[in-house]
Amino acid sequence: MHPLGKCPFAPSDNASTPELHDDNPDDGVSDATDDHEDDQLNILGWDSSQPDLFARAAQLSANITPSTPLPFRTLSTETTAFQLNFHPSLSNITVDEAAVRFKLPDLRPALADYIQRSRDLRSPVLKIGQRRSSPPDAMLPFTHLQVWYSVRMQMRSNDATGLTDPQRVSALPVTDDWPFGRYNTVLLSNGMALGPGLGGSFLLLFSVRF
Amino acid sequence: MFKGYDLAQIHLIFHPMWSANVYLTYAERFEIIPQSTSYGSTTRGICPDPVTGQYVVKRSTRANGSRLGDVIPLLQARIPAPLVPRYGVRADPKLTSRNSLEYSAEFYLNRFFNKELYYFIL
Repeated sequence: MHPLGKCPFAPSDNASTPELHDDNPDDGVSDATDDHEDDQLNILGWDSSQPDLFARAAQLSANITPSTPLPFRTLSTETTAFQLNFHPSLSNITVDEAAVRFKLPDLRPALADYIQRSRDLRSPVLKIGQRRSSPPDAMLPFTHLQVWYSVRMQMRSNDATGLTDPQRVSALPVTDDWPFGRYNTVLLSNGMALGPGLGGSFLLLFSVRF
Repeated sequence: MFKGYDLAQIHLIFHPMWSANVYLTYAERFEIIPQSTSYGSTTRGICPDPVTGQYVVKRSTRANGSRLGDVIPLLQARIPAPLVPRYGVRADPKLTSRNSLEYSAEFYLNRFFNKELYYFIL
């Protein structure tokens, strides 16, 4: 089904990666480790190996085949690379089911507003907190979602390797272990000119690399 | 307000099964609580708490009290930014690492989490 074979996009140091660790969830191989990567994390949630997700994202988009899953499971911006498991955690859930499961009563109108705004804007960089203009029962051009419980993020860094360790960001609904779910926090670009972080006027250390 | 960035909690990571090849998130925003501009000062501004050097944040809400969330493309995420509960005078004994984001009202944005975040927020 996925003829890409084992690790076509892996960096050369991949041989040192422990077998159990599915370092390459977009390799087209559905192995048992896809959903057990947390087993390999230490207490701070860091992965023990350090792949180059930026390079992998570039290779992936340059070597697209008919069996490459879309959207690409590894992708990047200038500053941040993202990797999702080959298999979604929920492969086929309706919008309304997701709204219940994740306790997001305004998911449907939020999606409708997103679609509206991304059509209206020339550059679809959106920000949180716009007026909710769609009704609760807004029509959507799709009915189902694929959902992932986590994504790995890797950032450019100013240390020797130039990369941070990938870090897992979770969006896990309620489980026995997580009675309120596990929803991590991030900084999201909100469409203003990218510049210093939270209000300073210094030059970003990251930015000098580009 | 965070210049250029929203601090947000990711509540859903998904791909709508539709023609658009895009990963989206449902994200809920936090906002900075103004702090004294210097230790002992009564002037408040969008600056870190002068004692801890950390920004203090709370959840943003809509006029009706609901949390302020929207659908935002995953690629707008820049860097993970963990929060630490701000206990106040006395920590609530029911807080654990698995419920503190729900039970707490105020948080520190933990810039000491790692070097990248530290330099990013500075």
